[in-house]
Amino acid sequence: MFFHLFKYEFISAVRNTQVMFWMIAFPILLGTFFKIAFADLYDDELFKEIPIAVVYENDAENSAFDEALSAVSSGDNALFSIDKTAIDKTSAMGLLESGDISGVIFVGEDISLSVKSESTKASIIKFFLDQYKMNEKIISDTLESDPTKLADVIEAMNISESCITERSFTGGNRDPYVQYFYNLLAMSCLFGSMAGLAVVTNTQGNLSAIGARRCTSPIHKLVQITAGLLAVTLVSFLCSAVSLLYLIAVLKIDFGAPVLPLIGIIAVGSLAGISMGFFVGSFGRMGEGAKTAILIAVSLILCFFSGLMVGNMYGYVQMYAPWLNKISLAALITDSFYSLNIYDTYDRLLQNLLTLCIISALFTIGGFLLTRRQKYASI
Amino acid sequence: MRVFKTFLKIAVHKIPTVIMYFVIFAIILICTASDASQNNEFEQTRLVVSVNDLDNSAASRELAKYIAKNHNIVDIGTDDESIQDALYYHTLSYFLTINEGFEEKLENGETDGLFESIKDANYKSQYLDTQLTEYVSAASMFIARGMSAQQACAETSAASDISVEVTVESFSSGEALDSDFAMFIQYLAYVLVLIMMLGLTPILITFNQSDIRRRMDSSALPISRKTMQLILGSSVVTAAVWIAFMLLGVVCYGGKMFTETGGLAMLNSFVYVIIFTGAAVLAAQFDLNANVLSMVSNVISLGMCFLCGVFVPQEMLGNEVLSAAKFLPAYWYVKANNMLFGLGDTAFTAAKYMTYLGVEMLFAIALFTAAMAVARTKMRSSQ
Amino acid sequence: MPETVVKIENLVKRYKELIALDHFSLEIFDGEIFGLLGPNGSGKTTTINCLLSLLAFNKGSIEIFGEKMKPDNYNIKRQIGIIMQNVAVINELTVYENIDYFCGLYIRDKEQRKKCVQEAIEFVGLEDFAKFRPKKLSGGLLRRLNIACGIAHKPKLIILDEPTVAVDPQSRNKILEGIVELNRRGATVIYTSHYMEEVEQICTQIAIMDKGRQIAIGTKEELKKQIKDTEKITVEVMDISDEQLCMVRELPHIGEAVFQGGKLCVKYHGGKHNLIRLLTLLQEQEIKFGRVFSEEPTLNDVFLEITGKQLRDN
Repeated sequence: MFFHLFKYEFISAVRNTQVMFWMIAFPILLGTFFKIAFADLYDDELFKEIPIAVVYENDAENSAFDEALSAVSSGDNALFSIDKTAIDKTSAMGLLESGDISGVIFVGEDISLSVKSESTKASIIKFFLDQYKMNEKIISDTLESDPTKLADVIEAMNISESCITERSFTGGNRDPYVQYFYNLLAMSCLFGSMAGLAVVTNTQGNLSAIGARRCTSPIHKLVQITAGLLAVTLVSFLCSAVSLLYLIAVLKIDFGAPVLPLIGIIAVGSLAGISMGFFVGSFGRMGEGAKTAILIAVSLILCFFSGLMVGNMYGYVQMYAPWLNKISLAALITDSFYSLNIYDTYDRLLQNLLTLCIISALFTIGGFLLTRRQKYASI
Repeated sequence: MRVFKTFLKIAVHKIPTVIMYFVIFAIILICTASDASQNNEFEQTRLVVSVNDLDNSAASRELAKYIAKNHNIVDIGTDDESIQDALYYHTLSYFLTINEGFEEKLENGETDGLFESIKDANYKSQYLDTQLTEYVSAASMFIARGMSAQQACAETSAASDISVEVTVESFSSGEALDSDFAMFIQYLAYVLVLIMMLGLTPILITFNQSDIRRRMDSSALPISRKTMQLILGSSVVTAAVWIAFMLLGVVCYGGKMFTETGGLAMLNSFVYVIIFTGAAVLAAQFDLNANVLSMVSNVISLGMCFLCGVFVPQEMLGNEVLSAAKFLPAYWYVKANNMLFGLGDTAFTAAKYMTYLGVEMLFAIALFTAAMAVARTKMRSSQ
Repeated sequence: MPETVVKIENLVKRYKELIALDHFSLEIFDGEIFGLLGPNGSGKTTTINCLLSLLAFNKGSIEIFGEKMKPDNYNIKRQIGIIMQNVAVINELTVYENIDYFCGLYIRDKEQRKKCVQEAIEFVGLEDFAKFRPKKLSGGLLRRLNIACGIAHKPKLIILDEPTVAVDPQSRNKILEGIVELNRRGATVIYTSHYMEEVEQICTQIAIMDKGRQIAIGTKEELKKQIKDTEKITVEVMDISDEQLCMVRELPHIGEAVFQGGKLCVKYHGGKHNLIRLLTLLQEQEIKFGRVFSEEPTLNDVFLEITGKQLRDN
């Protein structure tokens, strides 16, 4: 009997084009758009030599500056790459305007800089120039006040970069744009709530004709609801899993973790989404349209705060309202992917999954309490 | 004016959907409207840095002060997990540990391993790396002249006031406007599509349903009069939506809306909204139900906006993507907007700006023509 | 005396101000096709929903098969087949799957179920549409599917709530024949409708409802006896003088005789051989007459007589 119910709930969910669209087609399409849009962003952020041009005004010469500049423009850790095609101010400004170079250094009486916009790149160029001028001043001051120490001072100037040792964390894909895909999967899981809503609507006598019809059958309502919920959870899980596999296999997104645990997160996430839909669906006689609107709004707002639209939103929420990250379904799912990717230990992952399970359980129990009534005041 | 009145009555029923999107958009706008403002005075980039001073000496404190002057210091704790999360989500750019013995080593001319850094390999971390190295270099020079480490650090901090002259070359229309405003205009490209498709199309579909259309066509009302009233209704809805967003702009950005740049930006958005009135009219020719319409609108709006550089700057999109995007109206909208606010590669000229708007108008004309063609075909086939 | 299948006593259902059922009582016996007739809003569907324990009611008691009806009395529910007023099928499932789904709620055994589903499909004549989804079916076919879903498990009590609303005449006849056939096979049927012709055509016992009350009950003959007018004869005549009209009125059992627009309309209160007597009189008086119509009173006349209003607006 249970299998009979389960089978037909499953079939009707799979054949429901709307459910299928929001749970498979939409995440896959959005994922593809993400991929296209974010493809090169992370590489763009990674440090590369900053292209600059140097323009000598009125045939000025400054060999000390040339030396200092070439020191930081060569070798493995070069800061700048100098564009030699810029021979005069006009050509250099042309390159600056088209974005081929990040700054133009004018060497004349004094040194000045032109950049296109305020940016970290521009700040690095400016800092280098400031520093050059400062060193120049220290040396000239030394020459004036204490010429004997000049050699020591110049030697001290040329320290190696080894004053900083870098410590990095092991493992994981540190590309922050991957978190958009975490959120995409979280959204896919939360959109499953629509299927959870459909289960309630279709089993409640006062919500739909089919619900009334089912209420007259000799099967306990709890059994019908449970079979329905399990079936749509499976469907939602399969949809999200397909989306995940598409992201991994077709879009080549590096989740920094093997597939199996990722699938596990999806499973728990689907459960959470469905149970949310079940709970919201159980609220009294509010129209189905209103409930759908609530679910979409809640799903999207939670996803917004976990970073679906603005990448580092999770971090900001962590700073200003950390409690939200502890209870928001989207944040919990997203953070599960993140901690699986970044951390070597599973504590945080398990804590997230446990929270998701507890929230799902609360939603489900709440839903059952709200729907246990078997007679209605009006239909 | 029967049709027109009915049109407005149906429009009133669609208001909740429109308001929902409007409010969500407004909230997101307010949430993201905290970016630093831009002007022609060059300001150096400030990073979010966390400093863990293990040496806690006079010299290290001097250095910490120097860093605090140039950057924003946050305390996020010292455990790996917090650091890692903050770095990942860009709420921290650099975690710096000043190692024990910093002062002593510096004084002795040893510079190896003074600091330990945790960071991602990007421009920002490179910036602070360079600053630290140069700081140590300068301090070493002062020490070589016979100063103590503390003195040297203080001296270095003081000397860092030396600054070269920096010009921010402006390739935009020349007015100083903050990037928030540019972003507001840019995101309109997304929300206007969604609102027009979800707000206007269902109203028109009501009139286009074959039963209702036949009933109205068989009434005493001439078809041309009916069409005129529908056009009038659509225009009123379009104008109302556009004005609502412009008012939102005025509320958020005040007088900036009424500068020359603001005016041009508003003109751009007005042309853009007309394109999607056309799209809504075209979509209404097909008997879509609410669910299908919502699917189509979401895919079109999000897809187009990602491909055309609404959410991600155009210059960061691949060339293939951009050449495909040229066939979508949002591309020209964003291109015009980027040029206006000096965000892209192209210097602003009024002629170019109008050309882009002209291309947008072509899209609008194409969509309206297509809608008319579909309507004609349908009318013939039903006769 | 056959066994009582359904017993409703003093049922009261209130929706805030509105009293939907006002001390409504009913007894239905085994083997009946019981028609519940009444205008829209008279409480038919409310009665059915209370009967099925879908609706909570304010007062009264309901027994089915001698047991008290409760939402969790699955024993009773298993023996009921319900065809709701609003078509309740699953849009994503095919015709066959829908019937199998609903049948499966009652019958566990797969083989037996397969047979039942097949029979139900044949019964409603949807063989050619077994693989269709409900959306592709016309209104009449959809109603038939709805019925198949309700009767596939061969229930002992079948409740049909307005099964012929918005159905083409062909499907309607098929449905009505089907109901009679189901009854012949041993099911007790409760049938609600506001189409008196249908109820008259198939029901063995009829209750008329108005404003939540039962206003008359009996077989259709019994019901018709309750009213004064038993027969109405209309004769097309060229002309008739007032004197002749008076003579007509003096015939036995005459209730009313009017001449209007070339038609002589005579209503009788009981009596036999009324038509012969009338025609004989007309012949004696050498009044030329054309076509003659004799009508038995309809349930509408019954309803009209009791409530003073028409059963239906048309």
